[in-house]
Formats: sequence, C-alpha cells, structure tokens
Amino acid sequence: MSVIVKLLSKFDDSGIKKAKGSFGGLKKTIGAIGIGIGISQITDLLMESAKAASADKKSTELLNTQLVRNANATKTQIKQSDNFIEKLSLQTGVMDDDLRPSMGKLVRVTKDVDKAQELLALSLDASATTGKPLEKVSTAISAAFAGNKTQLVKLFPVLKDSKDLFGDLEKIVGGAAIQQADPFSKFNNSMDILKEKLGAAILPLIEDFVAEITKPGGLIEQVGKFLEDLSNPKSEAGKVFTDIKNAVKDAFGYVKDFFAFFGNGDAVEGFKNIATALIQALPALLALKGIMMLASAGKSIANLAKAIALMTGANAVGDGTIVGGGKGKTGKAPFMSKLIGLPVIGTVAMVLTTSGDTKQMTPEEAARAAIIRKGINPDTGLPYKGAFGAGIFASGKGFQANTNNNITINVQSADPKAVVDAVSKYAKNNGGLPPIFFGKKN
Amino acid sequence: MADDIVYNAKEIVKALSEIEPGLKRALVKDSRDAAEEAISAIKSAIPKVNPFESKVRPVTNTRGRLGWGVGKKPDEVKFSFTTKGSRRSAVTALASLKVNSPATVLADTAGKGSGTPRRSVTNSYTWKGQTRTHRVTTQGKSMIRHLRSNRTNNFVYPGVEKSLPRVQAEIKLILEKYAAKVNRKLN
Repeated sequence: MSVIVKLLSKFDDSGIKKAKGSFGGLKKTIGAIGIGIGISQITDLLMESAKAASADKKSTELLNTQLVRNANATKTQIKQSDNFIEKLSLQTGVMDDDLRPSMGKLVRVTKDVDKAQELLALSLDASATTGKPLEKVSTAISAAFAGNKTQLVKLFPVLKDSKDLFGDLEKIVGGAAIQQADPFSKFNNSMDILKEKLGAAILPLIEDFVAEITKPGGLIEQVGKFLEDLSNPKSEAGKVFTDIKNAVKDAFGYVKDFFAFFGNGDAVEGFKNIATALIQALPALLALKGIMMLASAGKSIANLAKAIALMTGANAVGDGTIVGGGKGKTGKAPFMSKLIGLPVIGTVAMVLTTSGDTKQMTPEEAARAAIIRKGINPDTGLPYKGAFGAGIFASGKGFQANTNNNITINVQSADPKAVVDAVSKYAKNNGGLPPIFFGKKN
Repeated sequence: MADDIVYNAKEIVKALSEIEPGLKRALVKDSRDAAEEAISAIKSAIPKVNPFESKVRPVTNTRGRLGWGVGKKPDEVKFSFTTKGSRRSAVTALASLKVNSPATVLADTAGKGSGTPRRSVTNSYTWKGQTRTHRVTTQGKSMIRHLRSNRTNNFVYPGVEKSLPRVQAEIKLILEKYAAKVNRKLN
C-alpha cells in the first residue's frame, strides 16, 4: 500500500487488449464446445470442426509423407508420431499445426523419427526459454544437428564452447515448455483437438454429401435452375421474388409515414424534428455521463444512485443555478428507492452553479428556490435538518471550506468533466466527500 | 486537476534506448530532478514525530509493520517513471511520486473512507493448519479522531498540491524535448 501522486499519465491500451484477448479466446472456445448455444451455432460448430479436421488431415498427411520419405517410417511409427504430436500439443499449449512443420524439418535432417521427436521437445523448451518462435528455434537446432551451430550459439551464447551441444542445451532449457505452458492455450488446444476429432467423424459424411450434390442432376444443378427461374418474373419463383420486392417497398412507406407524423405530413421535416429533440437532450445525457464518471471513481453503486437522486430531485433556482437535494414530499426519493430499494437517509444538498442558460424558471419556481436557498423547506416551512448552511464554495481554482454539507461548484457551461474534476479535487483536498454523500447524517 | 495524458510514451522511451544507450536514464533523471520540488513538499508535509502517539495511548509500536519508522523511513518519497501498461486501465501513471511507508500511508489515508466498514468479518486465510477470520472492529475510529484533532491526517496531497502544476508542466516539457530528439533521429 502506498500513496501515489500522479505527475503525468500515459495512454496504453495494449494490456487491456491482451486481457480482452484472453477472455475473447475463452468465450470463443466455450462457444465452440456448445455451452448454451442454439441449433445454428451447433451447425456452425460442425462445419468449423469439419474444416479444422480437413486442415489437420492435410497437415498430418504432409508430415507422414516426410516421415516415410526421410526416415522410412512404418505405419506404427507414423501412428506413434501422430500421438506424440497431439500429446505434446496438449502439454505445452502449442498448436499441432505449428509442431508438424518443425517435426518435418527435424526428420529431414536426422532421418530418424525418435531423434526428431527428441529434438522437437528440445526445440519447444528452447523456444519457451528464449521467447523466439518455434520455427526459428527448430531451424537452428536442425542446422546444429547438421553441423552448423552458428544460429544455435546466437540463441544460446553459452553453448559456444560446448562439446555436447544438445546435452548442454537440455540442461539449460529442459522442461521449460511444459512449465511455462499458458493454461488458456492448453485449454484452447484441447478444444481444437476435440473439434478436429469431431470433424474427422463427420468429414466422410460431408465428402459423401459433396459428391451427392455435385453429381449430374444433383443439388448444385437444381439450385442453378432455381436461380434462373428467379430472374424470370413469369415463373413461380420469379413471382415470389416480385412479391418480396413489393413488401420491402411497403415497409419503406411505413417508415416514411412514421417520420411524417412528427413533421405535419412531411417525412424530412419529421426526421429533422426528432433529430433536434435528440440533440437538445444531449446535455442531460452528458450530465449523466459525468455522474457515471463520479461513480466510477471508486464509489459504490449506492453512491451512484445517490448522485442520480441528487440530480433527479433537483429544483432549478435563479438564472442558470440548479439546486439539487431534499427528500421530497414523501420523505423518500422514489427514483433512488426504485434503483437500490432503499430510502434516502438524511437530506443532501449539492449546489451546481453554471454560467450558461441551464433552465428558465417560472416566478413561482424562483420564489420557491429562494426559500430553499435560505435552508427552509418550502413545503413544511421548517429548516432542513443539517443540510443548507454556509457551503463550500469553489470558483474555478479553489475551495473555501466552512462546513461539510454543501459543495458549490462554478463551472463553465456545465461541462460534466469540469464538474467531476472539481468534485475529485474537493475530495482530495478534504480527504473525501462529506459524510452525507455516504448516506449518513452529520 | 485533469492530468495530462501522453499517448506514445512507451514508443518514445523504447526509441530513446535504441537511438543511444543512456538516453532513457537521462530522461528519468531529468524528470526526477524536475519533481524535486514536489518531493520536498511532500517530505515537509509528513509529520516529524509519530502521529499515532497520544496521551491516552503512549505506547509506541516499534516492531510491527505499521510502526512509525519501522522498516521504511516515514518521509521517504520515491519518484517512479514507468512505461508498463496495465490489464485493467488504459490510462496509467507515467511519472508519479510514491510514499511507501505503511505507517505514513495509514496516517494520510485515515478518515478518507465513508467510516462505515463494508464487512463485519475479514476474508478467511489459513494459519497453522486452521482457517482464520477476524471481526472488523471500530477501534480505528478513535485513531482517526485523534489524527484529525492533531491535523496529522490527509497531508500528502494538500502538501504537494501547490507545486504540482509546475512540476507536471516541467516533466511534460522534458518528455517533449526527448520526443523531439527521437523525431530528429528518425526523420
């Protein structure tokens, strides 16, 4: 725990992106294994699995060819190699699609399946230790096996004078890949392998299906004929297509009528009116954003509710002055009660003074506000309990603190950010907000 | 009160190290020198004597982590310059001052909260093969009262506030100076 005074801040969202990436990956994986998903997602999953299985099959066949050509591998050895790659992928979290090319590279040099597997495991450890890509490390190791140790020594200078290159490397990096395996990658890999297995099961069915639809008179031909019919308005399909076109035209008409309703029959005018109304509501939305920023400054949701209650219970006073607070006639703030299910405790006063034309008041409202400013409840004629006294007044640069109840903030044009800054400055200066903000009586 | 935000600090600092070894160190040193005024202000604002001691409680904590001057000097203020990002927030401190003494921090932050404990029992933890929790007591209230009456709480920020704008501007200028160096070298 320490007290930190920020002097200069920086913006760097790479960490957040990384964190989001991890969760995104998890979400994708959970989605892929079908937790809480519908039929369409399951269909997607099957197609995706089939695709993955197809890619995996291609990559496996490529490696197996390498094994047979370079190391005269038997069927048993090929099967064992597949299992080895799968197991390694699960243990280290490295994708099997990355492992196979490296394995192929090593088997071409070593001409021996067992030796290639041994060096692949070593490459993974070295890759985990140095942080270099597996492809680069396996190239260095295969070159070293062939007698050129320059690249490997660049990665591990300590091996420069080594007599037992791979033995010494094993001593340095042995077991690092499994130790440093990222749990997310391992999980994702497991799911990928599951998907590939699922895909492998349905791949023959898909192959049959493709053969069926592409045969003469099959689905592809039938769809082609349908599309031809569609472009002909005299055919049945063409008639349906024309109906759809008309339906879209009608729908557009309804939208036009909707806007015309707000513009005395003129759709463009109606759209303009709606847009203007939205723009006028913008300051209120910005003020709400300000409240959200206040709440996010480490305060609880209850405090957010209180802040909103302050604004919603507001009575406008004078020229551009807003006074918020008070229990209301019922002694409770209905909005806040609705929000957090609790009554507002005590009376809270917060004075926001703006220099712009915030709200025009009727003479009655102004008179009522003047009474409120004197600290008297206009409904009961009694003074507010512990609420309005000599306040804390801030005028842009500083505060003068007299009591702990009121905060008066002068900000130009009610800029929410300026309000938030002023309140946070007040909190830092005074060691927090007045207790009334936490729902406490003084 | 809004802090200035630098958008490419990490890239600038990285480029500095690549352009000439030692430039990054010089940037940090210059920034620290600029922050000296704020450091002195905080140091002078920290109480010179143990603020927790009172006539009612004259016993001094001389061994515990929260003892005044135990482990760390009470008026130690460290300058930190870090370009590391965070997984929680996109805007983080590039240059900051840290007061690390637990006792000083305790005194400074005392009374800044709502005064209402969030929970009545602490989190459980294992201790000698058992699980322990603690009841949250109200004994801190008298400590806060004592610190408030002696005006020995909430001193760090009010102490440094005056010098902050000047120091912030200076550090920003220093960073801009080094950024200009990077730009000159790259272009």
